[in-house]
Amino acid sequence: MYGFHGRLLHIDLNTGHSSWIDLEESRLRAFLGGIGLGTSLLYEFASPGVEPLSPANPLIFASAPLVGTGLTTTAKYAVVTKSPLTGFIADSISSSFFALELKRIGLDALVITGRASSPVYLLVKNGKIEVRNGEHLWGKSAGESEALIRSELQDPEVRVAAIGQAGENQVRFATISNEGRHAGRGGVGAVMGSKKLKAVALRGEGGVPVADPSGVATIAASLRERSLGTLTSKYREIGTVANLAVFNRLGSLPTRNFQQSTFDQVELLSGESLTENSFSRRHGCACCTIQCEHLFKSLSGQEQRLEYETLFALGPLCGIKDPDAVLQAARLCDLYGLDTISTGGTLAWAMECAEKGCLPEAQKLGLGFGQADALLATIPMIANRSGLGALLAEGSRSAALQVGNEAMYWAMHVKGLEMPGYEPRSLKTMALGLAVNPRGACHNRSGAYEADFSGEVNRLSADAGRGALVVDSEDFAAVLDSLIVCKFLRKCFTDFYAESAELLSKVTGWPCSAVELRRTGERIHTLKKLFNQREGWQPKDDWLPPRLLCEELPTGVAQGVGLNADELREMIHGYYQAREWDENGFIPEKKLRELGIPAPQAGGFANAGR
Amino acid sequence: MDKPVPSEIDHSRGDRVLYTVELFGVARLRAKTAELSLELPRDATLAHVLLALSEKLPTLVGPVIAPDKSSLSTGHACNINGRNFVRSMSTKVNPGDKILIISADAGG
Repeated sequence: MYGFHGRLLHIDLNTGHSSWIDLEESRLRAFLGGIGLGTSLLYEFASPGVEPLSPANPLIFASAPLVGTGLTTTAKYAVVTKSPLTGFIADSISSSFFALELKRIGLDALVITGRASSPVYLLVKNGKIEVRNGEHLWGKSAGESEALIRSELQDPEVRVAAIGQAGENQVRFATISNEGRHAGRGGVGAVMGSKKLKAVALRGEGGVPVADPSGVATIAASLRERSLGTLTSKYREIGTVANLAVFNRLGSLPTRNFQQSTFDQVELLSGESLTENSFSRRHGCACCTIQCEHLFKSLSGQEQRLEYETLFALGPLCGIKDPDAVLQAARLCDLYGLDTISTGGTLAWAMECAEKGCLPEAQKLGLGFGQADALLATIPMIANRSGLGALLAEGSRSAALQVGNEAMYWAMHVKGLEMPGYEPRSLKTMALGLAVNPRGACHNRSGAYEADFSGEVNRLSADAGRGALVVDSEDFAAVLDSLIVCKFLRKCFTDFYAESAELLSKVTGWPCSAVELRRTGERIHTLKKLFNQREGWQPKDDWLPPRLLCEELPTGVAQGVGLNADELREMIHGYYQAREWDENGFIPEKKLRELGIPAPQAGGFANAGR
Repeated sequence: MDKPVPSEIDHSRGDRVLYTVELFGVARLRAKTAELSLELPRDATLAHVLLALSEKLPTLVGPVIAPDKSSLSTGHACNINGRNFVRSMSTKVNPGDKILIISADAGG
């Protein structure tokens, strides 16, 4: 087999037993790697209705066919599990050297079930598998754990993914971190913590041959060149923080818990200002020519990575205008292993509750929009589940349910996942993408905002035709996330499906066409939805928070623009039609057959895609 | 994206008005300014705006404005008044319009 190892490693932490399991070629062709492979394994390894923080919930690390081929931006891996935040699928991606090592240890996926009786870490080194004592790591940050493990193994080349204190304490939006990067959304770190698994350490020597090395090298050279042009200059020269000032100007920057879509003090926080005043250096993932990460220096001299989503969530969303406070908050989230979007979203909810008098504990802490000191004091409380942090560690949906009444109205989430920095009322295609995505309010599994920024649609008005655009965006993301290729490379392809199909053929030796690959994207996305359906998805879950449907935007160029329930319903129906699902959004068996997805009762993926 | 190429700006026409160009991201960093005014004929198109911008800020030619000076380099987009994204450079701009030059990629 080329491009894949054709096997997974299953480790049961209840017993410490491990086993190698062959992966059928048909499954790999049908679902590729990364998110696709991980979803197919989740469907199989998770019992229907499994409790996310129970030992039975599988935690899956999935590699991908392009990893290790030298293609730019492909050093990535996926983590897939059932989310403790949403109760549906959690599929997160992280990158760099840990991803390369995952491939080198000779597997396509690592599936972890069970729960250790005391903290452990897992070591897979040159074919040897050890569940090692991790008690001395418990309470440490992911970065500290990484350093300690390397030190005790006396191996500086070992690669580590670990959880911080938030994961240990099963904060429902805890991350898994490697080399300062995070598999961030959906609480995958909480699942790892529930297994008392502090870290996964890898060291391998095996590569995977590709079917046509010179063909792969030619494409790699072409993509490398394309990745250095003006298509990616935003990422290289300023980073994703460039979005802040633009979104503000377009009336699309969620501010003060989505009460506004513009932020008066935006210039203090803009990517341009940060670059001019605080830029420290640029960095990037292994095997990446774009090097999009921009590190900024805080007043104390510490370097901190900052992305748009973190900047928006810990800045304007919470009414914070001080760039140093945002950098400090981002550093705390990284240190404890907290998803910055959910942290900011949940804190913004608490701030609004405090200001409106329905959360006395938050008032006592001084939480309110713009209160940077209180924000910085509350983040460690979330990670440690202390005081008010115990409530906030459950995420905004669950916290609002506990507080009740109007607090529910201020919880800005879809399916329990806090909303990213794209204002749905002024980005109508994105509004639909956020409402229907299986992961919840997600800007990565659907880049529906692309349509809104294209000039091809009126971003301020809604219509049923947006359904097809969202379908295209989701299927495209499913393929990108399963090959895996970084989304920041996406515009460098002239014909994405044709070029990727050719690339996949040269890596695996399998014949593959653009049409087939497009179908693969649909299959992967459909399986994600099928998993959610099995776990109790109902039509009401594809919806947006009530604030977005009741309040018009009060400021900026989109002042007076709203989105009502009828408009959203029309777009959702258009989406279900474009997906060829039934009118309530359930997948008909005919569609499963068409896509070669075994019916739920049949089990197994031996004949998937046929 | 069509590219009507105005070879030069006709400075002889009397009926001239001010347009504002707002720069974001790479364009702002390269130009070292966030905003500037351009005086152009009343019936100017976006292509005219870019040509005038190229003359005023030659540093943008290449990284932001294409070598033909009447279209944008790949990866950049134009928005008028913060509301509408415009693909055709033959689109006419109205007196008082604010023309935004931004990155075409909104990924974050």
